[in-house]
Amino acid sequence: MQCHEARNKLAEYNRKGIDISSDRELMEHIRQCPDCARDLVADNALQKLFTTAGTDDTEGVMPMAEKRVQVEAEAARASGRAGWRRFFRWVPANILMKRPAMSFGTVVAVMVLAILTFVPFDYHHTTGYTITMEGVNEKLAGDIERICDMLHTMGLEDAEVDILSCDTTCYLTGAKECDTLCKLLFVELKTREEAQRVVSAFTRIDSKDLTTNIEPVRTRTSGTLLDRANKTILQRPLDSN
Amino acid sequence: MVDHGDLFWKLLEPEYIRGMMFCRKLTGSRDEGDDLYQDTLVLAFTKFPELKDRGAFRAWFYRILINKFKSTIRRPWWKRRLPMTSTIEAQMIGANPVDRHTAKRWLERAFRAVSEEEKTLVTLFEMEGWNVRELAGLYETSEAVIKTRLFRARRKMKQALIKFSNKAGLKKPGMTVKKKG
Ligand SMILES: [Zn+2]
Repeated sequence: MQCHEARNKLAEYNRKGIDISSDRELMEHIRQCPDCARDLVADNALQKLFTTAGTDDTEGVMPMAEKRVQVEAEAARASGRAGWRRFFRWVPANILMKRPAMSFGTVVAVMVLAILTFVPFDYHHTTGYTITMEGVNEKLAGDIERICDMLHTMGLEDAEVDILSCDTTCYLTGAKECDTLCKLLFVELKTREEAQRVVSAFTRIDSKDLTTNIEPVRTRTSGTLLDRANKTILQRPLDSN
Repeated sequence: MVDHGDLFWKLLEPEYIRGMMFCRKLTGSRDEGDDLYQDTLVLAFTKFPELKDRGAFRAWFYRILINKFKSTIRRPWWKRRLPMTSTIEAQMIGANPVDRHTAKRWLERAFRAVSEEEKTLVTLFEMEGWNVRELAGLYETSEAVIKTRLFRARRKMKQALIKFSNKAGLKKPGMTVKKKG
């Protein structure tokens, strides 16, 4: 048994509350593998913490009828404050209208500044990459924890994977041996280089039926000139293409 | 408006206590949890007329709660309260986590290894009994993505516990594995 299989089983047994000692092969692996043994110990400890710390603290629960009075009063006060804010926004505008000549220069300057600072416009930029990977063996595709481990080893903690579909190939190709091949979608990859690393890792495991497609995610963003300048100066663009 | 008000409380009723317990667990404190719950209720009550699909009330309400929690923890006073002092850590070492108070502190220690987003997800799954399908609905994503996020968060928390136990130079009760030999 390999470590990732052992970890899968441990996680599954933990979720279902199954006693692991009934699985001889797993117990044998844990006896011989200090890493998995440590993982098991931490897993049990964490589960106990969730159970002990997760009990409800039911002291001082306010009855819902009482809470309703409190919440509705606060909501009414909050909507009153919003009304005053609207009024104070209206007053200075009114004064400016009465002294147009004096205010003209100020208004123009404020408008230019406002356009630069507040008026948003739409532009596109690359926010990341996705990979569609077809022809992944079902056993690997279904092993989320192994895939997570692979991504973890590559330092890609933010990347997420989803199974889009699985097809059985013997129906399609008439082959004697029946394989089920799956289509995976990876998202939240920050650069094209990260995406290529994921593809090579999967190709190393099984490249037989694998086809992959890396796509940039182009997002239409609404932002002011100032935002855009900030992004350009502070962050290097994700995609130079 | 009156109709809206009545309907809001009627829809909230089955979640009223659970929502409060979730806030207390998220913040790790009764007072802060109740403050968070109050703010959430005021906001949800105000926004309720905008909710078109009344059948989606539960997920909508928890989304407001989670966003409120995220905006709360970004405030300066919250950041100042977060660091666990070395005195508290010293008290934790050697204390038995089977007692609820100590278990909460151990858990708080482990939660520091994950993002607030992951913390809300783990709290709902492990301590509030939400299943993967319900969470996928709440976060508007697939079950596989939820499983991945839970698996990762759990791994980070386990590593944090292992590190902390090593630092403390102790084995926690229940942290023993039979070894051959
Ligand atoms: Zn192992």
